[in-house]
Amino acid sequence: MNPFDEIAVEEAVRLKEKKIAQEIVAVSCGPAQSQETLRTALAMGVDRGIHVEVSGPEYDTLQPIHVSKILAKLAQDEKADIVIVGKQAIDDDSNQTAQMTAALLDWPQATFASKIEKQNGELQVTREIDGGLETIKVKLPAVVSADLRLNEPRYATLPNIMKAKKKPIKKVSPKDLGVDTAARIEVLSVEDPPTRQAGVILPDVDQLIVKLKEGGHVQ
Amino acid sequence: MAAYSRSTKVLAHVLRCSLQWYGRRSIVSLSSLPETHQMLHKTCRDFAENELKPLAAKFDREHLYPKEQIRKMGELGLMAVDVPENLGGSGLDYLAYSIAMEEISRGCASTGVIMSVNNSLYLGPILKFGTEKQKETFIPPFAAGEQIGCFALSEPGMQQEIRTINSSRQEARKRKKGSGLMDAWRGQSQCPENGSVREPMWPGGGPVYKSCFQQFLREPVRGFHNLLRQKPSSLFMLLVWRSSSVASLMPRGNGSDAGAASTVARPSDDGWTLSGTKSWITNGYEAEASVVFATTDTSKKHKGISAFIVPKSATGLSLGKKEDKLGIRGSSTCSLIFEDCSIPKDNLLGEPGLGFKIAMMSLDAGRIGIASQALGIAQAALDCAVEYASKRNAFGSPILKLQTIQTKIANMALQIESARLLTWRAAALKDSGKPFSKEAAMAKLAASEAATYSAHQCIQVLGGMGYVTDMPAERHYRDARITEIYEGTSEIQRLVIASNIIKEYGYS
Repeated sequence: MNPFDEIAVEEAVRLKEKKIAQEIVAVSCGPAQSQETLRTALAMGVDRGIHVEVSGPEYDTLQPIHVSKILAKLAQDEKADIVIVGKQAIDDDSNQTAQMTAALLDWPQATFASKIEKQNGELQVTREIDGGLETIKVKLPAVVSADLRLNEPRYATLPNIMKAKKKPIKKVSPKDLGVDTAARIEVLSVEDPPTRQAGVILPDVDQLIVKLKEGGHVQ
Repeated sequence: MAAYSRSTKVLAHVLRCSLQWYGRRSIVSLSSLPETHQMLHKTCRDFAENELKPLAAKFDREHLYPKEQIRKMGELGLMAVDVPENLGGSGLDYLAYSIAMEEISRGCASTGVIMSVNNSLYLGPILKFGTEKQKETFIPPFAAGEQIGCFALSEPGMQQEIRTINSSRQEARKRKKGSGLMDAWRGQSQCPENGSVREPMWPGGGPVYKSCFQQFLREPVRGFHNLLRQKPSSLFMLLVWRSSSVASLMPRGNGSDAGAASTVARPSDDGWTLSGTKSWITNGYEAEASVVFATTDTSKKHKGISAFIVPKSATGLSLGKKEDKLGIRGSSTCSLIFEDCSIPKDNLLGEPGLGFKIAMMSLDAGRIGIASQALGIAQAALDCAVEYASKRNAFGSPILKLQTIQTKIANMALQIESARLLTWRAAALKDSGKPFSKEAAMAKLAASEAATYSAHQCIQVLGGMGYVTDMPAERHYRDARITEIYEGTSEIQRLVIASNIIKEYGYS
């Protein structure tokens, strides 16, 4: 499971333990192996799972826009109050799904959450931003994306692993949800970053300025 | 309460079916395991990496019992893996237990043995042979990691005397040379002590000083020490001739000779009274209850041994000193001393006289646990060796490229893989209810020898670094050594395997 999603699942389970959430549904889009990911989530304390079956060439071109549409449709069908996801996936590092899902649903979003509290029917979320920490209030229903320091995910205990076998996983396909998974982005090329050139050791600062002017780095 | 719930029965049936199918297909790798076992493997691996590995050296150096870690393992359900859920356990099978043991021991071998003794040797016999009341009293508190149990079969025998003899020998050496007992008697025709004449005790016998033998009767310990100094032939004749009286003087005890239990249990008004000593008890200091084997009927020899559940709070039970061991120093090992220890009548486990069978069946299952512990230690040693070899440069490149190092790594991996397959097979056989004694003995033998070999070669690959405490290689070496000894020495395993094979061939 994507580490940030693990943190999101852990936060959902904690919200349920604090009686803020009543039921947790885990969703995974992908081939048959996604079932294992869902079972891990079930073993952590999620109530039921939905496996959106996407396999083969369709899976290779699955992009955040498709996942956001799927999550938005499921959130409406399941009448969810909070959609909580990891801030980004570790394979493409897109950091787009939470934001796009919120836009599609027209829900408020609280991204890069490092603390979530419920106050007076609204969520108070502390966000990690470049400049420090920002605390915002969002009305429910909302989309939240989990950052690294939100919590420490628990180990799946053996009794919970056994209980997870009994919990249901529903299978759907993107067509059932009315989502078109045709690729919107075409990958033109993937290249390694250029190999680092060796540096040159210069005797003094005057030489440095000459070299910089020659290279066109300064005027 | 008494009967298993329907969902547990259904679950058990599903697990049995799935495991039988896997048994037929023969489980050969982690990815061919059932999903639950793969998830369990991940949980145990993560737990060992995060919670046990960083602290293992500290537990070993300071002889610390990992109380907090055992509590967390109890929460994870690892202290009662194959106990049904209605008694507080995880309701998994022995294959799951084996995988969990291997991963935990890979992090810390002491924690592994604490987990193994609680699971196989304490909870195992009570689960299999206990009454409903015993199961409810003695299983749930011990499944959660707050309390642990232990298993008391081995006895001191001559160990106490040998320890006294060794210390008295050291004292004698400290005294001036020539003033010891034998120094005075050497080359004399008459005993200097009482003037008795040097003569044989029996026709054709060797020279044994009469006074020496008389002294043996008066002071068995010192006399035995002097007897050992005699010529071997004369000593043997003496023992043969006086076997009845000498044997009754020598304390009976057992290690591998499990049928010679000298701890006795006499029925009393309100229960049983135990007298005797049990030694080498793992978890002795921290255990809240123990499964103890004592003789109830001396005439029936090993069919007269019975099993009892003795809580720590029983009157008359005291602990010996904590042993200072070579390895697995995080777990305590001590003697249990019973001085008219009284326990209730209900604490008899199984039938009177069934004790030996209970012990053997528990040890059979325990062997799978110890084999898994040995696998964990061996795997940790292999990981350490390969990682070091990839970083250590010699002759212009990492030593991993050198053939001699590669040969060592291949041999280590081969032994580990073979032992792992034997262990998983024994576990799968147990889970499907088939006889598994031979396979369990093979697994424990192979795994413990793989552990000692891998740990030895790991130090060799690390060279000087393997010898110092900065690297875990020396700890693996010390931890691996005990796996060839406890829960059945390698020699006993060979006897078990041979007797099973001979029976298979039709001879006996």
